[in-house]
Parts: sequence; structure tokens; C-alpha cells
Amino acid sequence: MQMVERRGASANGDARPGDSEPAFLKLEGITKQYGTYTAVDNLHLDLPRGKLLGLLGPSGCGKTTTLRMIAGLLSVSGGQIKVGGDDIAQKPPHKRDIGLVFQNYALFPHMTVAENVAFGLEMRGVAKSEIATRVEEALEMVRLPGYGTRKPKEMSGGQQQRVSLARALVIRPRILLLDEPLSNLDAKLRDEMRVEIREIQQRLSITTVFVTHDQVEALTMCDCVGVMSGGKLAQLGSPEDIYERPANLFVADFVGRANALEGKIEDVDTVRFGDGVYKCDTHGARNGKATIVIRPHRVHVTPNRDRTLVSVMTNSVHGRVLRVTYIGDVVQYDIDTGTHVLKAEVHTASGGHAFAAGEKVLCEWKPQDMLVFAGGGQ
Amino acid sequence: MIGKITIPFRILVLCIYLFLLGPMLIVLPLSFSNDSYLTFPPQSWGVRWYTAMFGHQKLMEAFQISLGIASTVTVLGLAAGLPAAYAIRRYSFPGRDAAMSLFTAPLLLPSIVLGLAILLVFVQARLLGTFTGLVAAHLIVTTPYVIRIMTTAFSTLPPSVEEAATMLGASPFTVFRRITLPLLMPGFVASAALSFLISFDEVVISLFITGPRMTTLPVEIFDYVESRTDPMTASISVCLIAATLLIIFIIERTLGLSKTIGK
Repeated sequence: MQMVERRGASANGDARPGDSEPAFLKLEGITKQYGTYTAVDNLHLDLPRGKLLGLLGPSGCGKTTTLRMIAGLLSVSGGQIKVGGDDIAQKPPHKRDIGLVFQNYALFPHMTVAENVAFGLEMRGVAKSEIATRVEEALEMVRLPGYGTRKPKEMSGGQQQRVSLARALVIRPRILLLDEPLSNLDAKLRDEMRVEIREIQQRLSITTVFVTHDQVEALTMCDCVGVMSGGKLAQLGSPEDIYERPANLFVADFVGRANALEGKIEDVDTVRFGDGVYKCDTHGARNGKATIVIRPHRVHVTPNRDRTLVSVMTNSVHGRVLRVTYIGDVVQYDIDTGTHVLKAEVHTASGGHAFAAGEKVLCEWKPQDMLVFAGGGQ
Repeated sequence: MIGKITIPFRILVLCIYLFLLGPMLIVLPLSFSNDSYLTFPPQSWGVRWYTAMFGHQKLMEAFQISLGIASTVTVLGLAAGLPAAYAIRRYSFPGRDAAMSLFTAPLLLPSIVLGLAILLVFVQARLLGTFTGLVAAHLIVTTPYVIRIMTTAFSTLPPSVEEAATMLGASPFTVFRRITLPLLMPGFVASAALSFLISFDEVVISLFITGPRMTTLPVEIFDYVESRTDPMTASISVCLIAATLLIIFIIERTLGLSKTIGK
């Protein structure tokens, strides 16, 4: 991962600034304030050329505000936005040379598809003959060749979003911004578009910022993910970093499902919650309260047996199945351990799920699947 | 069209058209009557009453006044309604829905009630029989239409469409010229045409507030018909129908009427 986050060292312990690529897009302390409310708070991040950054977070976390500041549709209250070394923070949006794809497509309804795509080229004074070829190329790129004469309203949502993408890319922008581009599409189309957008982005090798509240989009499409919360970057890292090594409880809880259990640190390799003592890595903490996070699908559910026989998984707890939720590809169990309710997810195999409500089971997990956040609570 | 167009259906459509256009079929020949009284069919033909109409000083004065009032009402109504519609669609503020209901409430009130209310207020304000008074009264009727039509026009133009043009390199003026204006134009023309026609046509409220000093064309025609029964009324009607058709024809040719009124 070539990302460098300048502010919090905790967020990317394994990033090595020395051998990172130079940043093409650089946000240097950008801030947006509305009166006393700070929507984006002193945000720093670097994005190398050709990479796709996902800004992920719940609504109101400042991700869209950040995107709109990069676009220039919102003014910054402070900080710099550098593209290839130039600070563009004070430039008007129409001079920034940035492509933006909107959630609601925002096609010009009174123009044909071709006129929509040609608009940006016209604004740049490109010759008519060249416009025609470039528009057709752009439409071919998004797999809509020959659709030029249609009006936007004659097309489906997915097709409109592709036109919107072609329109943003045909001007060969320095940066591409995507504002929740898949949110208005149905689930199946979203999967297709995800792959398609990623392919085009990689083929053109265009530096892209993608705003989404959908963790699957962020994890599957992006080279790096910035998780935002309360106007700040909670963590910046590769999708794997974000999921496997969340920097804080917020990220652990927001990205993926999680059992968050209140407990106590006993030693650098031991925590206690409920009646049990469990092996894990506390990152050097020796005592104090802690919140322990275990991903449900990392909890193995096995038939009830004596705990002392357990060896491979190291950590285990007895429980009784409270509730079984069948989802199709996985079965979710809520397991009552006596002091906590532990969620576990098991992939279904042909032959159906193994445990019924009320059954006694043994839950097991590895030490490295326990994420310990000192301090406890939020 | 779903299903087949059957013969009974054709007959029904024909009847509806006859009902709607029937008066015109009578009025048009009547207007070219040279008789002194309204008789159908006319005994003699000519343009006597057209000539009389243009020579009728009171009528011509009322026509000019109506033209002036309708133009003023159209301009002022748009000037007030456009920003109101913009604010209602583009901003959220406390009381937004209440404002919308208040602005469009006159649409629901019977004209006679409005007319009476306006009369009571205007007596005290000494606005009866004045140009200002007539314009103000007509504005109460036309502005709600402007706000209604323009809020719809603004809602079909989400801010992101203008923003998209900006991001593609269009300066604020270019965005206005290439995106905002063309997309709002149908609504704008529709509101203007409707305001003008409503004001020009308005009888009920005008009856309350016109006086000997100042009267509008519809009120003057109304007075005329009350006392006289000659074919000049038919000639006036034909002129008004022709003027209305001309306006609609121009709108249709420049923008497409279905596009303007349709949404």
C-alpha cells in the first residue's frame, strides 16, 4: 500500500513513506465549516496517480462534502487541494478539469446522448470532426455504441449512468470523482457496474475518488479506502488493512459485521470477558478496560465437547444456540455464552445447517481474530 | 392508443369536438353579418361590424387598458413567482410547505369570493377603478399559476444538472444559457402565456373593481352585450379567438405546446 496518512500514525502502521509513489492528488488539511459545525475537519491524504480511493462512511461523515470540495462545488474553509503539485482550492470548478459522476446521473434532459457527451469537448473548443470521433469512442468504451441519437429519458438507469461516465471521461479529466454512482441501481446491475467502472478506471489509469456508504463497493473496487467519521479520517489503508486490521473500534464496527464485547486486558497476550480468559495480541497494553471485536464468520461453531480437548483454535467458549437465521449462503447463530450473546456465521453446505435453537455448542476462534481496542466503549 | 378505434368512438369524439367548437361555427359567420340585429343565419353579409368595432372609442380604449394590464400583470407575476418558486424548490426552510399552500390558495377560492374580498379592501385603499388596483387584483389570480408551473419546472431541473455542466467546463453564464434557460423556458413561456390570457380574460373580479374611469375589455364587452344585441359582439369574439390562436401558434412553433403545457 502506497498510501501515506500524515496525521495519525495508528491508522497505517505498515505504510512506508520512503518507497511510496509521489502523490498526484494531495489534500492538505482541508476543512469545511458551517457556522460552528465542522463538516470536514483538517483532512490530509495523498493519492498516487492512477489509483482508486474509496471514501467510505455513514451519512453525515463528511465524505460527500470532501468530494464536493475537490470538485470545487463547495468552497474550502481552509487547507489546500493539490493536483500534480498545483493548489486548485481557490480555482472555480469549471476550470479544474475534473470529471464528476453523480448519483442521479444528472444528464442534460434536453440533449441527446451524443450532445451530452460532446458538451465538455465543446466547452474546450475541440474541433467538430474530432468531437464526433471522441464521442463515439467514449460511448464504445461504456458499451453503448450507436446510442448517440437517443434522449436520456429513453434509456434505463444503468445506461444513463454509463452515459454519465462517458461524459465525465471524454474530456480526459485529471481526476475522476464518483459520488455514489451505483446507489440508484438495482442489486444485479450494481454488481455489473462495479466491475465495469473498475475496469475502465484501470484501463485509463485515471486517478479516482469514489464516495460510497457501501462497504462492499469500497472493499471490492478500491486500491485504498478512507473510512470517515465525524469529518475526520478514521483510517486510511488497503481494503485488507481496513477489514483485517481496523485502526479503531469505529472502523471495526462500521466495516463488516462484528461482535463488540466489553472486557478487560489482563496482560499483553490475554484478555478477559465474561467468565473466560482468552489469548490475543493487545498491542502492548497490559491492563485496563477494552472492547474486543470478533468477526462473526471467524467464530467456528462445533458440537458441544470438553474445552480442554481444544487446541488449534486456542480460544473457546461454551454456549447455547438462541436463534438461527438462515440467509442462504450463510447461517447466522446467536449464541448465549451465559454472559454475552456471541454472533457466529457459518457457510452453509449441502445437507443443511447443523445446529438448532436450544442446542449446546462450543465456539472457537484464533487469537489473531480477536481485535482488542483499549479503553472500552466508543 | 390501446385497442381498436371503433366507429362509436369516432362518433363520440366528433360530438365532443362539435360541442367545443360549435359556438365558433355560429360566431364566425355572425361576425360577417351586415344586419343591425343578431339573427342567424344573417340576411346580409359584410364587414360593417368589424369597422364599427375599430371605430368604437370606448371599446378600443378598454382594449388598450386590458393589453396594458395583462402585460404588466405578466411581468410582475413572473418577477414575484419565479424567485418564490426557486426558493420553494431549491431551499428548505421552516414553513416552506405552508408558504406553498398560501401562495397557491387563491387557485381554490371562487372568483366571486375573491372579488368581494378585494372590493372591501380596495374601497378603503382607494384603489377602485385604478390601473394599480386592477393589476394588483389580477396578480392575486395569476401569481399562483406562475408559482405552480415554475415549481414544477424547477423540480425537473435538479441542481446536479447545472453542476454537471459546470464540471464539464461551462462558465456560470454558459451554464445559464445552455442548461438552465432551455430547461426552464417551457415553464417560463407557459406561465407568461397563461398569466397574460387569464388577466386579459378576467371578468368576475374586474367587475367588482372597474369603474367609469377605467374599465377592461371583457367588462366593456359585458356591458355592451347587456344593452345592445348587434353582431359586433361576434366580431369582437372572432378577433379575440384569432389573437389567442396566434399566441398558441407561436408557442407551438417555437417550443411545442405539448412540451410547455404537458409537464
